[in-house]
Order: sequence, then structure tokens, then C-alpha cells
Amino acid sequence: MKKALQLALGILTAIGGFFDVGNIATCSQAGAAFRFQLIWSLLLATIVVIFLVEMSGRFAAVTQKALPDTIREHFGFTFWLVPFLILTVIHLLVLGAEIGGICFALHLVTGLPLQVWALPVAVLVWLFLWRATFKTIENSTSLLGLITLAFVVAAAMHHPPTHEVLAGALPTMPSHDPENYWFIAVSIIGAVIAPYLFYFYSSGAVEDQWDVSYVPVNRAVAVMGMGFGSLVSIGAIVVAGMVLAPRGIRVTDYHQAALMLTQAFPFWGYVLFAVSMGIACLGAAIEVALSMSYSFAQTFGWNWGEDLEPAEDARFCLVYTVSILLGSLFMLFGFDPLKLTILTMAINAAVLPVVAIPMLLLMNDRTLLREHANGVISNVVTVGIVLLTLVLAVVSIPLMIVGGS
Amino acid sequence: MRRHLAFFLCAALATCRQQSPEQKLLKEIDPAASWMATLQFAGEQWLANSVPTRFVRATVHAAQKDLKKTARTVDQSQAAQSLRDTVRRQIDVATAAAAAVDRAVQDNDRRTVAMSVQRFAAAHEVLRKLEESR
Repeated sequence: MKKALQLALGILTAIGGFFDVGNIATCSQAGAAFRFQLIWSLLLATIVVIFLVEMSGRFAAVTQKALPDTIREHFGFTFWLVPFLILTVIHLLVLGAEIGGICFALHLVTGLPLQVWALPVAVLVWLFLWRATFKTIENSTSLLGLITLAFVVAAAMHHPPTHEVLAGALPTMPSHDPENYWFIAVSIIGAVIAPYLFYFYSSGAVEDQWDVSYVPVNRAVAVMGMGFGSLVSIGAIVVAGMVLAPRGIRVTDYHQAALMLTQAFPFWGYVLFAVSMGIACLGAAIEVALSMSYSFAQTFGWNWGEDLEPAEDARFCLVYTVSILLGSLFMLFGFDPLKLTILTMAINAAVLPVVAIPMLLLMNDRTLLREHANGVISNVVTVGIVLLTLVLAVVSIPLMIVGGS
Repeated sequence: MRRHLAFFLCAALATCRQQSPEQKLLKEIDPAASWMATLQFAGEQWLANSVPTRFVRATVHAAQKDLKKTARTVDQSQAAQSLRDTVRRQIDVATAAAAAVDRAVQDNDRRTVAMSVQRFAAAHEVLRKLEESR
């Protein structure tokens, strides 16, 4: 009974936690510029994220250890140092983008400039981490995040042409702006397969004291939670494809995306967009900051745990405090939140092998995982898609710079 | 693999360089056309009481920055004079209409907003047709 409840809660939190600033930005851009033509990249990314999340949860459940901890122990500090440094930079960029998303949501609600909100938002995120337990963070922000299901409801209300939506599930060549098409495809993949997700998920499983009996629960949460979660992103693509694309609106600024829900929900659509964005980004910002602390603490062998008192893991708390402060500087210094997000998501995709390769090496270690080590299918699918993403990222990022769109 | 990538990038670079000034200009006005459509939609939604005044004003301010940038691009373009004039006229119309909307929403002047919405629509339509001819 307890496991069934945890399973239900886990799926709900995965759905609520799936959507963040990266998904809002990339899906609205994809739908506005190419209607449903880029749904395939979201589906591709969802398959990989299901595999990777399942692996990181299975690893934690079987070994009772989080990923960075074991990568350092197993391969040595030198091996882990480069991925660790790259991921630290990525964490900061993602945190900056998420804080930007919260600031924009507050700007929509109050009309005040984004810069005004940078420090108050940083304090809010920090207070959440300082005061709340892991369970509170995991459940509250993710369950509130279910408000993002408004995108799915809006998509259904627009009655999109089913055959066109289904056709979008298969990759096709774009009729215009090929460099922009491939760049958005890569950014969608980077938004879904965010590196922080795996460290957060595996460390969270350790915090929740998972054991081997949680392996089936983990699998169900990964498949159903991530699967249903991607529905919200598909909803956002469809809504942008139905509302923005026919009007010739491209999303180059969040103000353009903010109009997406106003047709399905007159008046409330604007509020729903602001609240969805605020909650989704708040949840993600908290997770990224925590993931940063987990990554530092496990790399340097410090005490860690969101449920410990700050005095017991002072360095863990110091890392998220400094990260949040640094992350808020992007908005404080007037960075464009959408450009920051899109750039970060493309880099996310480009560094995917840095995250996936050490994880795959560990997941194939039978001395650690015994009968729970990876099978052939998991390895082939993950390696294949990670390589494909790397090629797309290497090609599309320079093309985007050259194309200048 | 590396050779293929290099070829692909060089081909892309070459494609960009081969664009005529007219094609380049029509590509560069894409964001301005998108902002005109955005202002039209935001105005319509304001008239339908679906978005607040502060949102319309913030959207107008964001659009004005991009319209100004595009106007500079048009002025510096090597494209044919007639094309530059047509594009510049639409940008000027949209810029004036944006300023009118900014004032009108503050004064709750629905008639001016409705008229400006039509001006955005007309300017966007001209740019859209030009882009289609690309």
C-alpha cells in the first residue's frame, strides 16, 4: 500500500516536475516557427530521459549511493574533474535561466522589470532550501507544477488536426529556416535531458532511503512520470502551433509566448501562463541549486542531505547559497532570459555525453549492480541517441551562429 | 566524420554568403514582422479584456526595441531602394501605431487601440507577402 502511494506520488511529481523554463522556451519556439514538425525531437528526448532517469534511480536503489559519489570513488577524482567542472558551469547557466523564468512570471503579474525581481527571487529560492525538507520540496513544487497541465487542456480545446500532430512524431526536413529548425530540435533535446535531473533524482533516491525493493517503483515512475510529463511539452508545442504560428508570431521574447493560452482561456490564460511559468521555474531552480550542492558535496566527500540541519552540512548549504546568488546575477545584469535559456539548452544537449558516458560505464558494472546492471537495449538506445544529439549539437550550434537567426 | 562536418559547415557558410542583399534584408526583417503580428494579437486580446494594460505596454516596449533595430538594418542594407522604402514604410507605420497603443491603453482609448490593431495587421501583411516572394 505504501509503495502504491509512493508510486502515485512519484508519477505525479515527475509529471509536475518535467516542465521548466527550457521546455516553455523551446516548445513555444518550435510550435510558433514549425507548428507540429518538431514533436519528434521531444519524443526522442523523452525516450532517452526515461532510460537515463530509470538508470540513475536504479543505481541509487541498488547501491544506496548517488552518481557523482560513485563516479569519483570508482574512476578517481581526476577522471571526474572535467565533467564536474563542465556540469558546474551548466548548473549555473540553468539556474540563471530558471531564475529568469521566475522573474519573468513575476514581471507578468506585477509589471515590474525583471531586474527588480532578481534578488527577491534568489532569496525566495534560498529560503525554500534553507527551511524545507527534501520531501516538502519534492512534493510541493512538483504537485503545484501540475498546473502546467493547462497546456494539455488548451491543446485539446484548439482541436489540432490529428494527422498533422501525428506526422510531427516522425522527423521531416523543414520547408524553411533549416538552421533554425535543427537548432530548436537540439535545444528541445537539451531542455528535456537536463543533466541536473539525474544527479537530483539519484541523490533524492538516496535521501528517500530507497533500497532494491524500489527498482520496480523507480521504473514505473520513470516511464509513466516522464512519459506523461512530456505530454505537457507536446501540449505547449501544439498550442504554439495553433495560436502563434498561423499569426506569423515567432517567439524571440517571452512576451510573445505569454499570449499562448489567452485564446483557450480568455483572461485566465494570461494568469495561467504566468503561474505555470513561475511554479515550474521555481521547482526547477530549487532542484538545480540542490543538484549543484549534491554534486559538490559528493565530489569532495562532504556531509550532505537536504534533511540535515544547516550546521551539520554547512558546506552543502554554502554551495547552494553561492550558486543561487551567482544564478541571480544574469537577471540583475539585464541578460535576456529567453536567449539565456535557449543557449543553455543547446549547450545542455552538446554536453550530454559528459553526463551519459560515466553513467553508462557505471550502469554496466556488475560488481556494483549485480543482476540490476544494464541490458543491451538500454545501452544501445542511450548510446545511439546521445551520439545523434552530439552530432546535431556540433552541427547546429555553428550553423545557428552562421545563420544568425 | 570530421571531413563531413567541415564540408557541411563550409556549405552552410557559402550558402549564407551567396544570399543577395534583397534576400538578406527579407530574412533580417523576420523579427520585425513577428513583432507586428504580436502587437496585433496583444491589442486584440486587450480589447477582449484577456490581457492587462501593463502587459500590452511591456510588449510594446519590447517590440519598439526590435523595430528600431530593424529600421537601422534597413537603412544600412544594400538591397534595392524600392524594397528598402517599402520595408521602412511598414516599420514606420508599426512604430507609430505602437506608440499610439502605448498611450491609448493607459487612457483606456479602445477606438485608437482597435485602429492600431488594423495598422499592425496591414503592415504585417505587406511584410509577409514580401517574405513569401523570397
